[in-house]
Amino acid sequence: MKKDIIKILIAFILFIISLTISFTPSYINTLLYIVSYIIVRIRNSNKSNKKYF
Amino acid sequence: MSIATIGAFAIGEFSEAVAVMIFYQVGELLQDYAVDKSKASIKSLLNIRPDYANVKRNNEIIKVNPEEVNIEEIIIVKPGERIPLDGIIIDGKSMIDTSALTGESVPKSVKAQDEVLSGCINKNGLLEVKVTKKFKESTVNKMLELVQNASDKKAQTENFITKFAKIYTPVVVLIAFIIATIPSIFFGNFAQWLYRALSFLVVSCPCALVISIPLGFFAGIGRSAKAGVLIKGGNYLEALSKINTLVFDKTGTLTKGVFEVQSINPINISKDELIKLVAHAESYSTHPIANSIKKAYAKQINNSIISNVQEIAGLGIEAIVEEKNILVGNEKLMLQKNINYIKSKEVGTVLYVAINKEFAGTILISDEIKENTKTVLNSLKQHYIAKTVMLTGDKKEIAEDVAKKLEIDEVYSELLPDKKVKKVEELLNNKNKNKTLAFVGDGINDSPALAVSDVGIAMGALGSDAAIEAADIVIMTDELSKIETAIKISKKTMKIVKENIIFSIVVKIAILILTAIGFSNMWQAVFADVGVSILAVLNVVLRKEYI
Repeated sequence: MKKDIIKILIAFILFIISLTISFTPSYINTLLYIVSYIIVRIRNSNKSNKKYF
Repeated sequence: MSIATIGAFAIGEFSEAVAVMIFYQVGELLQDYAVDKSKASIKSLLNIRPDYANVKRNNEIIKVNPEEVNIEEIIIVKPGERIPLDGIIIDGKSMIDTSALTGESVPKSVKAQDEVLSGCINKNGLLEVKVTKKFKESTVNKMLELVQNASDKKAQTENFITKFAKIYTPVVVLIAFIIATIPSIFFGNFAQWLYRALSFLVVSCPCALVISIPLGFFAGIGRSAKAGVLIKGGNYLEALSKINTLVFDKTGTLTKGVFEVQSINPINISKDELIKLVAHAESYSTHPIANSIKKAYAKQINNSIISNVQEIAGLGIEAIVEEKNILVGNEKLMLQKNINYIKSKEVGTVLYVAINKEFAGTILISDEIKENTKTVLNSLKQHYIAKTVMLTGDKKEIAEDVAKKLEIDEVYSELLPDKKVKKVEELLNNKNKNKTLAFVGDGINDSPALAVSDVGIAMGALGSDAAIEAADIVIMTDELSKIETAIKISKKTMKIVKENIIFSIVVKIAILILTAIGFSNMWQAVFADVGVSILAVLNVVLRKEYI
């Protein structure tokens, strides 16, 4: 649970940075979005839910 | 969700794609937390598994795993320790806390020769216990297995949601595909329709239903276990909520199942003298009636004054006590021995007594109705039940007398176990198809009837393996009021489950329509999806203590 919260927080910070700061070159923003997406996507909670029921 | 976010990336909507995934994961995290919490509350409830047993071997006390202790071995239970195995106290007295098994908060006093069950906590005295069951067969292990397996048996509503999700997912993907392609052929602007289709996919996720419904049943089963009612699955919880006919076994369920002397009616002799002579005449018999006579006499039997005891099969006993000829038995015995007796009008088992061939009076023995039975039955009828039925193997007049006292609607007497099953089947055929019938029995002789009914409820099943196996719902104590508690919990659980189903589906359909026609964007869609899930989960989590 703790690990998941940290992952989501990191992804969220990267997302906010990318959303608020316009980097030059602009592909840095895109890169930040992609990294943020990948971090949060790794958390596959569907599998853990299936385990419960 | 993956298709939607990857699609958003493809059309250059990076911020939306990431936001959708972050908020989705936040929702999932909250759901995980709720599930973990619910599981933990059941686990803490079942935190009754004993870690060790102090076993006496070769005059030494050694700490071993309860699984390694054999039947007949002696274990020592110190104050504050959990009793690790079922057994009989051979030395010591104490107060024991049975709340983990029964939900009963008042400690029970126990002494030598009393039976103790694993899972209870020894409060003060030191107890020496002779083990009567291996750990695998012990009460605590049976209970743990039962509750842990409860979530495997899904309710009709849960199964419906699983089936619904299976059909629903391909259907929404197809609709999203249609939204992305067909309108753009006629109106152009493919990117806009694709965006709508992707938003549609985001909002279509059925997580609120998939998570909150099992969570609701889980909370209901946990809550009832806390009250000393073990429900073997969500399906039985759901069936219990639809109950309208309650069928009871009489002996041990509505009555105490213990024969007691109700009245002594002597003729030309004192009550004390009559019960003394009869108790001595019956002293060699182990029949429940003889035991109740000995219990009523409550003094030491003097064997030196008894001689020539003869049991007359099916009629009674003849014996010489204090050099008097004593005849104790039923009416037939009096007729056979040509005794001029007065027929008793009392309801119950009547023992006729003759001393030296002269009629000396009667003793009435009958089973006692449990305390509060009438109040509980009245309350059940007032709130939940349309019809109460009593089935018994007992005589017609005794059955009718009990039914009249308890205001039971229908009574069927002189039924053997197979006839009881037939009667339950008949009642099942005649009931309203949308409602259920529950059979309440003591679980040992009533196993077939418990099995055929919609819901089999075993009463006072603590320590009885047969009852735990046969019933769908196990009430650990012999309190009838727990049936009402269980029905109340089932109704509240089903209310929460239905609220979640209606709320999730209605909101989801509304947002799906708005998204398809372009009134909401992906951000709003994700808030709607996560929001519905969180509200549904909160509806269970915050209300589970009030179930």
